[in-house]
Amino acid sequence: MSIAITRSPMATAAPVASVVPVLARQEARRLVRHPFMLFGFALFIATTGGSLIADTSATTAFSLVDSFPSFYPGVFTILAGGLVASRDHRAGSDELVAPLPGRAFERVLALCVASVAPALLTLGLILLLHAAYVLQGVYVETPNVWHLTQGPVTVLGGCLFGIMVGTWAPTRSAVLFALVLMVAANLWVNGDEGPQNLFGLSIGWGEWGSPDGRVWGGLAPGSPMGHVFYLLGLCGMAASAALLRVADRRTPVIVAGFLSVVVAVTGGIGQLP
Amino acid sequence: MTSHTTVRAEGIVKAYGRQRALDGFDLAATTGVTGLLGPNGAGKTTLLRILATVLAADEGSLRILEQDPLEPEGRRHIRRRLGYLPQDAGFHRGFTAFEAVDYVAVLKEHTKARARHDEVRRVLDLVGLSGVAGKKVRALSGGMRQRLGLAQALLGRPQLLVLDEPTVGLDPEQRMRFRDLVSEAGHGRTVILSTHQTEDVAAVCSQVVVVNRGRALFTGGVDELVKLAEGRVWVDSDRDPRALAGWRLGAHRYHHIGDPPAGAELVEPGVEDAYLLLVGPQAATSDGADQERDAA
Repeated sequence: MSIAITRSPMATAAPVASVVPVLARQEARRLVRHPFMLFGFALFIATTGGSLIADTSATTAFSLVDSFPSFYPGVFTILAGGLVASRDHRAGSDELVAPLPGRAFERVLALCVASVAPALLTLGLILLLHAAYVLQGVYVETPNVWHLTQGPVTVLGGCLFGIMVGTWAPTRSAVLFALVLMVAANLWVNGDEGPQNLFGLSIGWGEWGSPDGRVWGGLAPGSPMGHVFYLLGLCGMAASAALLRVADRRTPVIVAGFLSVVVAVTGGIGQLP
Repeated sequence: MTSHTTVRAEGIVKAYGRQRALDGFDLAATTGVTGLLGPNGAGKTTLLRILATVLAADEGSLRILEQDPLEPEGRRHIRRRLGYLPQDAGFHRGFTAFEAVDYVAVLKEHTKARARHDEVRRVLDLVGLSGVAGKKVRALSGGMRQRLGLAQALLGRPQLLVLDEPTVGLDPEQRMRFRDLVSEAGHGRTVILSTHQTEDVAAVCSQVVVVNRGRALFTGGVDELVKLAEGRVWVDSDRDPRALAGWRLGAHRYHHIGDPPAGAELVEPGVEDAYLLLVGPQAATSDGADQERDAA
């Protein structure tokens, strides 16, 4: 006799052994060694390394430690994150990995955790650069912890944004399109004079006192701490959106996403002068 | 049924739109190798995807490893004891063979690095890929990639191995090796494989299920299947138009299946003869699109 089975989503209990830490370590290595990521870091090192040799102004030095990492390696982390997240689909592995105990949720969660690695590497490079500038006496005003962490947080956000795109639209073209869209949106927001440019992702806090930046123009108005929290909120939103695609239980992810929105809005308002 | 039944399926139905890929499929598989034999679009891949917990059946009763695959806990239990080789197993081309299998091993909860690496080396050795463990997937031949797929399925000595067309792309020597591997794997565990190759079925399967149009037409041993064709296979010097199917063997020799004419020169039947008698001659000439996969 045939017994009717009701249709149900293929939700599966979490794996017994926690695969996330192991997978996160592996994915962190893959992210950091990704060709796009290496290229981004190479550009960062080449540019900032040159600044240590050349006669660097205080304004340039300040921008190299706070906003420059958003471009290099920041932009390239979007590509690396997106391509790593879409790897299984592009390779035709979906069917192969679908029935494994480590589910799509664990895989995406591990990738989100792994995104911290390029951010930490960026932080390490920034701290080295910062120490060199301090020793050289370049700064007029020394960047604080929020100025220094802004770059690594944008790298984290770029990677998470790439992972989000790669999870929802796992194709190369989608990742590339998202990158172009993100850069264009950021240029549009930053292009405006006024406090609203603080909603951009690449904020230079050192004001230019002269066209060549030789003269230190002081710090831009606004709260760098609020800006970092705004960026962290965006990071949480990207991670939540990525996890929402693969979560069997969506409520905790939606709650995490909502909290991220609250952090982003609070930080966004708090950063304004 | 005894408690050794690894898979017990009754009345399984799976439809894609209005097309039923499985239409009341019954299967009981125990320890040993069960071969699914059927033409394109018969429902083999859909059945294997359901057994691998990739798909859920629309109707019917299914127990795998004494668990209900529709229950989250049950599905986890099954997945921890399952090895699955899908029909088109892809690996990231930038991974080395070792990395590709290691990635799957982590997802199979092999979290201790040293033990995991030992296990990856073991399965690569089993399929004869130890020598190319450090090579990128993009540099491997089609046959090597197929063996890589088999290697990941063998990780952790699963109790249930589900293999979809595992011999595709293998050369004759690799196929012999594969048969050895599957026969060995069938000792003490259950292997369910689908294939178009009747030679594979004859060589390794303890049970054969002939599938057509989403139903099991025959379930039994290889000998029982062959017996169905006894007295219904003959050879002649000309093609016999009354035969259900016939093909040329060599110079002026034609092999026929069907109802032989009086005085026909009967010959010993094979698995292929019995299979064709069951599913009809269209299976021998089936070159149409795989309806099942198209529908999926």
